[in-house]
Amino acid sequence: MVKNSLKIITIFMLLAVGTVADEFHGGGDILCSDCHTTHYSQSGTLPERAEPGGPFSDLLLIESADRLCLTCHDGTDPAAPDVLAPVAMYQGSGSEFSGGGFFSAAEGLISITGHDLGVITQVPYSNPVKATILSCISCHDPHGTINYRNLVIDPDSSGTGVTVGLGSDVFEEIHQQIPPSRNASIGAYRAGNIGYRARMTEWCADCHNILGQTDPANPPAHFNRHPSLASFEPSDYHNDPGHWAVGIGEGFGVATGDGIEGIPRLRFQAPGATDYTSATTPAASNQVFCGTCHFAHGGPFKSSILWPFNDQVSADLYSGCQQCHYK
Amino acid sequence: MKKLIFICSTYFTIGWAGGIYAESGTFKSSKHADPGIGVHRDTNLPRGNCSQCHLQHDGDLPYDFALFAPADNGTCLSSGCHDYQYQWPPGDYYWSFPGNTTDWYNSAHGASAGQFPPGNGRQVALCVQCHDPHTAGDSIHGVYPSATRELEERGCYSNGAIVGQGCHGMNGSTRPAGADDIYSQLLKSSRHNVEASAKEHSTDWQASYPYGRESRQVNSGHFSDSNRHVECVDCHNPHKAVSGGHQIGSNEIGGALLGAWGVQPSSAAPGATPTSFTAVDFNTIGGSLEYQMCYKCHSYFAFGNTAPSGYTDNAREFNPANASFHPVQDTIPTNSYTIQTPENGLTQTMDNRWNNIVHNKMTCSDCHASETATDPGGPHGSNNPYILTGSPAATDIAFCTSCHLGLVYAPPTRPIGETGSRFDGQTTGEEDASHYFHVTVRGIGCRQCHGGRQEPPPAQPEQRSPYPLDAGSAHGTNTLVGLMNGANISAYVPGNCTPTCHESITYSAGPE
Repeated sequence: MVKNSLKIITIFMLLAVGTVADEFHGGGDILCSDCHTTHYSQSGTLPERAEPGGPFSDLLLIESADRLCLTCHDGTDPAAPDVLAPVAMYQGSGSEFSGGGFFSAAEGLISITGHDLGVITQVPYSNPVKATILSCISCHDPHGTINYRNLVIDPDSSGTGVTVGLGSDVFEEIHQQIPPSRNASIGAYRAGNIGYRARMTEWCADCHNILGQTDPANPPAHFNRHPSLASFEPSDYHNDPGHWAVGIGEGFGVATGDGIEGIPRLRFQAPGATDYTSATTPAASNQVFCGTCHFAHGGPFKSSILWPFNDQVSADLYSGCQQCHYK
Repeated sequence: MKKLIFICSTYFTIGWAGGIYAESGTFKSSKHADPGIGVHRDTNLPRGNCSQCHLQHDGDLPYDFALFAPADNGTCLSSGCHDYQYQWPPGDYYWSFPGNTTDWYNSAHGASAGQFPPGNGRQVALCVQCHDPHTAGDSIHGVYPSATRELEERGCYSNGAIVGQGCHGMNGSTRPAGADDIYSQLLKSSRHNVEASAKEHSTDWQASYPYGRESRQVNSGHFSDSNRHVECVDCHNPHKAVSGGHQIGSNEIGGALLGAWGVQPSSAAPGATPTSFTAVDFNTIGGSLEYQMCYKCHSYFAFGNTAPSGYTDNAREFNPANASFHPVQDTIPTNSYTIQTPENGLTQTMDNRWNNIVHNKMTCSDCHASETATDPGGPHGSNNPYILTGSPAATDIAFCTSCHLGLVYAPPTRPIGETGSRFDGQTTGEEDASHYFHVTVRGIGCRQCHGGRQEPPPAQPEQRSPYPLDAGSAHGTNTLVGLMNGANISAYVPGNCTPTCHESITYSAGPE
């Protein structure tokens, strides 16, 4: 009881000083009572949207944080990005890599197409090898952080933080508050609304730490794994910056899986960017990062890759690779 | 607009400068990417998927290029992909006869300790020196066959887009140790013009014929008319060839032709054109005969009865049933004067190179090669017509006397005794009926009496200047014995010669 009281006090103190959230879940777009209840009654009427069996940890309305998040982010709330399959929210938007992709199941299932919620899994490319049960709040702090998308500052809880600042490392074309809002659209989450400058790979590599290094190799190879944070330069990096810059032809298309070779331009980091425009301008200096090839949440294809690279032979099999390498 | 200008300038500056992107979208058309036959090392992944070779985030061990194995030939040859040998159906020949991994490591290329470019640490023996696993191509020719980095022969003598600067190019500083300059030969006035055609081997390149093909059937059309061609790989198998030319005096191939193929004609009547052939793979040097390779293009096998302009049917000319011939296909039945025999007083009549225990046969490349003896062997090119080592002019004797001893056939002074030739004063009983009188005194050229024409010229009116020569007439003839089909010989039998220069002469002929 004392513990719960302290939490309640903390929540109200945060609200009193204004939210720490720089992104969503702040500025009035969400209410505390959307997720929490202070007086869960087991004997009386359950709070609106509450799950039976409470009270729950952290005064949540629903026992599982993942299921709580997905009450809004399952596509039922038009103002909240849909991150649970099936996703129709971005269909036809021309920005199919939106919202970090989607999970194949709410929790408890291991999939081959993305991160798994609520089930113990071994963290790929981690050293030492570690296992974890991933939750929405493993990566996002619903109360907000100084990071873009409320990303937690220390994903692996090692004590070393990674900041991904909106307006410094990531840029949006549409201001983060206008929209989305409860009465607005999901436009803010569209992939085309985002430009990246830095830190995204660093953030992912906090858990997938093996991939945080761009290991050099013996010439004429440059790396012994696909590099991250590498640009098209120097010119012997076995890619085709001209093809990338023009963005026409092999690899580039309107939609993934439309039967016509080519997919929308992959995401990239622009290390010298100062705003959304410069962060979304194709150039030889653009860098590949984790999000170039992978959805953060998951997607329709194996390994959370943005195109059917590890799936069946299809028109788009090579599209993602060809945008940069044009082999 | 500024963005567009930036994009365009980037493209032109980085993408097109130097034309370094020879791949440029060719991979999807490659055999490695083919949905039917493409790479499938990992059956959990789509066939042809990049991860079949590149593991992106590396596997258990980090290798260069994120490959699944060390970035050396083992990636290709020990991966379950190219471990042993390719297969092909009967009837068609998939160039360039890949052989197997043992052949490769024994070959001149596979065993080479050289580097290309010299000093850069990259061995000649690396598969990727010649092959681009992603496949290359260009806007004119499309995808290059067999995933070569360059278009066919250019891969042999070019370095990237710089023609003539490759392994067999003309620049000694860029040639690996042991590599010959072939490119310079191919620039000569007479040559096997490997640049004249492209992709003839792969015009039917499709999934069921993944390595390109040439028919091994007679007069298939793959060697004639618009398909007539010659490429380096028509004669050389880069996966199996070893260094070295053929042994003089034998008609077997040299190591450089090992792994290629040819055709053996069935026997034909004297003067007849062989029309039946059997394909022969040059699996070993012993038993593989150089003419078999040449017949592949220079006989009925290639063009039927209609030889291309300027060409003749060599299998007809060298037919061992003919009245006389150079011993390219078989020995000369009556050879008592070109080797040391009791009949010629055991006199040496051939150059020392033929004066050995296998001196009774020869190869096409004995006569067809560079005019410069120190150049690489083989009929790559010459500044003489027909890729000849010497001038074929009727009045020029130097070409013939490079093998047939000048002391015998063009003695500088009047011989006193036996010359070793059937046609000397001692044998014929007449000083004028001799090589000395005709060649040395009267300046008659070899081909005025030997190997000049297929049809004898008329005896009348008398003419001492040579009648026009026929190409291939020095190879052999069924018209006259002793290769007496000279440009000025109307009729000949041993002991009686009817030239166009003077009246018929009867003399004493030596024994056969």
